[in-house]
Amino acid sequence: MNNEINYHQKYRKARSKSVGHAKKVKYVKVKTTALKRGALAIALATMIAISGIIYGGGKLIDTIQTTRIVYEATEYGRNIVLQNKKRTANKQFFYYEIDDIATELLKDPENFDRNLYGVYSSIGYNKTSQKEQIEKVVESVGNIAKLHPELGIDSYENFSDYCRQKGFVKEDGSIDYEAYEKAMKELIVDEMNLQKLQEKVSEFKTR
Amino acid sequence: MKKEYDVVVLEDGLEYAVIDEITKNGNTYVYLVNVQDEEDFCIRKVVENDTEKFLVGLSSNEEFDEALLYFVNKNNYNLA
Repeated sequence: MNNEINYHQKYRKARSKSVGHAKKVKYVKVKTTALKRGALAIALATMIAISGIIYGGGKLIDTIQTTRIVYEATEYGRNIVLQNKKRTANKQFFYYEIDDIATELLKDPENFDRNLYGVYSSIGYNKTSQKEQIEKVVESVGNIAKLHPELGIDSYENFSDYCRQKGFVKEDGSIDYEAYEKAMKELIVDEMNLQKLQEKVSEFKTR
Repeated sequence: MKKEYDVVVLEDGLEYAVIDEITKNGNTYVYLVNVQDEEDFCIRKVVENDTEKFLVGLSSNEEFDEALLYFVNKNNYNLA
């Protein structure tokens, strides 16, 4: 039991040292070093032990599967970003063809939310850039949707407006990005499970 | 011959050895162990602009859990 408490403390400490937007240092390798004898084994054992404490087997498998399912399901959106990330003429910077990304998103209105999450998860070079770019993407989507109501996409002003309409808002009125991300992952997994069930029912009926 | 690890310095001024880097879902996670205390570790991810690379904090506790699992899976430890 003492070991378990100890590992919970280590888990919380490691998590606390790892999570947070304010943490930022230049990735500069200052030197190389050999670790103390047995140090790497102890480090690995610690990381593995806290994983085992935090996750039961079922939860572990669920998490891995969810990650894999979401990654595969958002491939279309991620590819849209990849294809529309361009270098400036002087090759010094890159930018996104926002209107082209929006146009591509609107080609599959049925899966708009899922594809938008794919774009969200891969656009930008940091969190700030990500939020700036996704705001522009949804603004552009809204402008196009206004001209083409037959697509059935609501005309959102921007990504913040999209989140507000979907209910991803904190008590203080700011956008709850974590709630959005969590909900999208759940939606994607639910959609996949629903599809599997439908296939199972269809297969049964055709026997 | 002992393996040499790259060392970085984080905000706390301490030196951390880079024991692994894993890229998943478009993010590159860096696994760091305190050179002086092997039970003290953390995970960061790499972001870069046109000229520099940075180590930044993860976005959420959930992301920390996922990143930890990537590491455990890569090292073939089966907890299931």
